[in-house]
Amino acid sequence: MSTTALAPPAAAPRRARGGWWRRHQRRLAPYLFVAPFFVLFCAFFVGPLLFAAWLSLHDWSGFGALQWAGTDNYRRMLHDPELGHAIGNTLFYVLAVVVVLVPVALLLAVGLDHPRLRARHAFRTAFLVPTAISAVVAAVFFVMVFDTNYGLLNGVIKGLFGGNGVDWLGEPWTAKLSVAGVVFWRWAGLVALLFLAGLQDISREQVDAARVDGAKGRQVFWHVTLPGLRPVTVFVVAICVIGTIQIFEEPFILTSGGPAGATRSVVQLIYNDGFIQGQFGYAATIAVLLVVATFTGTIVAMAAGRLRGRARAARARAAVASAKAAR
Amino acid sequence: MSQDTRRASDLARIPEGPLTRRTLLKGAGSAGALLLGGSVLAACGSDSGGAATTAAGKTQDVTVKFWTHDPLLSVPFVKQEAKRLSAAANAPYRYKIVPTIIPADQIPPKARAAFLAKTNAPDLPAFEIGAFCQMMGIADQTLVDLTDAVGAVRGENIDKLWQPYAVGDRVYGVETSTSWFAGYFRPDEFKKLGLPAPDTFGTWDELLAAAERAAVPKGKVLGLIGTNSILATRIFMGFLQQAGGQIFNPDGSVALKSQAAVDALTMVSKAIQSGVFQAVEDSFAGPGAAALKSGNVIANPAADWYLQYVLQPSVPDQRNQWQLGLLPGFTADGPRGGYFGGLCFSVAKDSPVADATVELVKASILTKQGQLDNFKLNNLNPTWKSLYQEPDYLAKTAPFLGGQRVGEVYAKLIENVPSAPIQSADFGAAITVVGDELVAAYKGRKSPQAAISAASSALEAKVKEAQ
Repeated sequence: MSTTALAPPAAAPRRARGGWWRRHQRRLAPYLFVAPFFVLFCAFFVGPLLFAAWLSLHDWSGFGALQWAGTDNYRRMLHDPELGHAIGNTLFYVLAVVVVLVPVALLLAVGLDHPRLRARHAFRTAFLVPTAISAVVAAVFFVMVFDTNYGLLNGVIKGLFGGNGVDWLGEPWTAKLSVAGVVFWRWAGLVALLFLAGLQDISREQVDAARVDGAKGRQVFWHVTLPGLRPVTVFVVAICVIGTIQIFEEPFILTSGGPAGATRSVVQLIYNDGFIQGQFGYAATIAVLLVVATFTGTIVAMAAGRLRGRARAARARAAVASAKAAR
Repeated sequence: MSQDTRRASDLARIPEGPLTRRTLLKGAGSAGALLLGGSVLAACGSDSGGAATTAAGKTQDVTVKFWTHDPLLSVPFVKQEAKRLSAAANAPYRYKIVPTIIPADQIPPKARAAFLAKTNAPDLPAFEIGAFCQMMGIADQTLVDLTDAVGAVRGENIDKLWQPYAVGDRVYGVETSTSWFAGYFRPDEFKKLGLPAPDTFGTWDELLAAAERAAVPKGKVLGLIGTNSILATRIFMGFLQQAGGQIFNPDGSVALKSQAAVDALTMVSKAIQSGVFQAVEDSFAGPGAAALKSGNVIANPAADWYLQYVLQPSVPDQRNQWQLGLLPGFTADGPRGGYFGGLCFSVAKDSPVADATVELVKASILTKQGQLDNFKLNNLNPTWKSLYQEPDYLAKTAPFLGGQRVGEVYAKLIENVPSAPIQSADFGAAITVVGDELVAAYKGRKSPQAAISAASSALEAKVKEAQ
């Protein structure tokens, strides 16, 4: 006689109590939480973007029916010298921000993070004040600062060095530098704060270990601090590129895009063509180009950051492997 | 029963509080949906208009949404006229004016969007002359045709001042005043320099030569010229029209390449380069105010509204030190002034109070009383020739100018009227391409002939592109 105990029959799967919602809420809840943002994103970004792409295939004065234009607007864009100048100007601003503003903001952040700095909260607040000021107000103020005859800047220059001052807003290159200067003034503080947050995230043990190994200040900065800031740097460069590609208020108010289009940005051109000259179809075409450029610029900036990180990691692994082999 | 089991059963018996996490989330979700739905419904709602219909023959209460860039002059004037009309015996309408202040170049795109959406649209939009070009392509669809209203008094107008707001032969805006371009100057400073008043000089060349000898060495300046592209073009147009030139022909083609344009640009460039005029980024805002406050600016060719908008607020301490005078001409017998700017009142076609608004426009600008009211209240000159001989007009004094009878100065301009501005739908393009070339000439980077030629070619290319 077999004494093997019969296994109790497998319990029938219990149907969850409650209705459909109770059964599916765990699966659906994440989508519901992101839904408000997603709905607004579709309504105010994706929808208008698709409409702009559709509009770029038409001529429209802002009223009445759309007239089909096919690729005429795109062909016009390829031969538009004003657009070429505007793209050149915008690239100048982007390069100036990435090459000058980002490193300067990093140095500011390093200074703010210094343990011996007194009144650091006052400094941080002071650096953030320009970001809180409206771009329009800042530009109106700087029109007065940069004026050739009665501006504050030339007043200081004439007082210190004599001469007639500089025509800041009247010469093409000085006007570009003036616009870039206003952008720096407005955003250096905020970018420095982003770097400061990144700096405070770097493990102190790593820094201490490097110092124990004999690393000096500059070596610690290059080999510990900067690599530790890589994710923040990638993010900062990406948002700076995105923000600067869309620059509008500073050149619009400081110089109205002049002299001779030397400071006109792509967004300003979209505004002029669309709202002043009533060529909404062509303005939409340039807007589509801007979206593509912004998206591409961001992808490139982030990919460059990731590639650099991978290269560093590979070099570190190779160094560890060769050290092991040597032992 | 194990301790764990007992604890679990105890927990099962604990009644749930009134507010659980689930209840809170449900409540928040419902409130959010209600708020969002309410906002969406409100936004989708259309304007019901401002008219309250009452029994026929009785006064109707109307609310007129008035859009303007000018809070200082046009708003008080419209409110005053609305009050006057409402108080008249057997008045058909009782007006309530609701002004909205918007920058001049923003009114056309915002009005266009509002007309398209048929919501929150203005009933009475005031278009600045340079911004009206943006409405010309859609004027027949969005604005009331005021040709008949203007037609009854068209002969009264000074040299086709109705033209800048017309498309073809249909008029869609009524010019509110004549923005004369004359000369403000300081007699005390002129006396110190041994210079006679500017209006005693026959031509600009004579004035510039005398000023270069007497005023420039003392650091004194006889004019402020704005150098951002928009202002550069606008100020240049005043001199251009005085010289007999135009940017556009009546058929929309470019008329810039002319001897009058070269003469006007040569004069202004020479004046800037010799120091008689001073170039500032914005002669109506901060830099211009700083220049006036410095005390070095002893004269300035400017529009009639310059007194209230710039001179009085910037240099109140220079009260009673300024006077108004005519400008020298480009030729000995040429006009002694020009035009600078303009503002029209239009009526929205789909406005529920369009009829009442048309009546308001007619009564406030197309009557003798309305025109004189505007002058007495705001120092803004009539558009009717005949009013320049009215005793009320000639007797008006300007307290800031030491009680000077400014009407007597402007009345002289009627004797030799400069050419009225000719409007074009491409005026927006003109502002940028022409302005850049003008500034190049002001700074000596190009000769006036080369600058006018380049500006004309660039503008022709833009006009062709737009077609």
